Amino acid sequence: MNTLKISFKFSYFKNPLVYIDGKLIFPKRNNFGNYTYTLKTNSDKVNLKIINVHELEGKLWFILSYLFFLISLLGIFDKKIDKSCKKVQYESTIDLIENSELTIEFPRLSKTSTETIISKGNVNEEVITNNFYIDNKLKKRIKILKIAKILTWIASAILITIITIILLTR
Amino acid sequence: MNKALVKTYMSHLGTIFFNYSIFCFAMTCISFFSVVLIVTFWVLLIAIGLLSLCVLFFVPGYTDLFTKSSGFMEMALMLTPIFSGVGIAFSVLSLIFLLFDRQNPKNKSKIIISAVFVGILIFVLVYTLIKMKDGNVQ
Repeated sequence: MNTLKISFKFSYFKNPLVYIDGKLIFPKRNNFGNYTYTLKTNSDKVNLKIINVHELEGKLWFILSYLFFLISLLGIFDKKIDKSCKKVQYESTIDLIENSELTIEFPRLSKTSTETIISKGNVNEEVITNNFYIDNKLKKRIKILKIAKILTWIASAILITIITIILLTR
Repeated sequence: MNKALVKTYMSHLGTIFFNYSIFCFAMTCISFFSVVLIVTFWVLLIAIGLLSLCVLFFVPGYTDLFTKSSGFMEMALMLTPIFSGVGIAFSVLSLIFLLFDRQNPKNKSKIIISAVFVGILIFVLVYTLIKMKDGNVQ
């Protein structure tokens, strides 16, 4: 039986989804703040895929995000949206040996850098895709959502003021 | 819709309800202890906050509660079961939604805290209701 120990150094990366042979895996956090996962398999080759999903990607992104904003009492109890908009698409085929080890490192992506995922280990790895970028479409959507939120805040403030005036002048 | 995306939405919704339950838990604690320990004006003044106070001042009759200790105690007594009840509802909702994305390491601690909140808030609710029925809260 072959084993593959994968260590992930995510740095500032948020919500990566790791698939091995199409199956979603959940790496566990170790004492050093990195995530590790050990795979035991009889096969000699595995397919590794890393992607990430931003919640503003879906078709109903505006409706759902605005709904969350309203449910959370105009954003008071809302969760922070990931504004970095970092996207990753990584896919590789790994030839396994008895004790295979692999370290996947995510770089700290700046606006100008074009760095990609770095993988190190004692295995043969054939990289199929390795894209790492900032999604400008998501950045634009965040701006639209921010404008909608500000308009809602202004509308709410006006509404509260009108109601208060009506109550006081009664 | 993408399964991972649905999980993200569920996680988001769960986190919103979790934030609500934290607020309700804090309010329950403050109102409960102000009843039990007979702490009056200041504790609740800080807890409810300026916004709530502004709203309450517009409601006729509530202004008297801030000047009379006994009236304020009544308000605290009234608030405890309300906040604990609402807190239980929000904690249960957050548990339901967070369980959709339970393997996310960030959600694990939230699930545990929500479960603890449910337990404590049920205890506080039952305790307060029994004591209210007996007419002896302190």
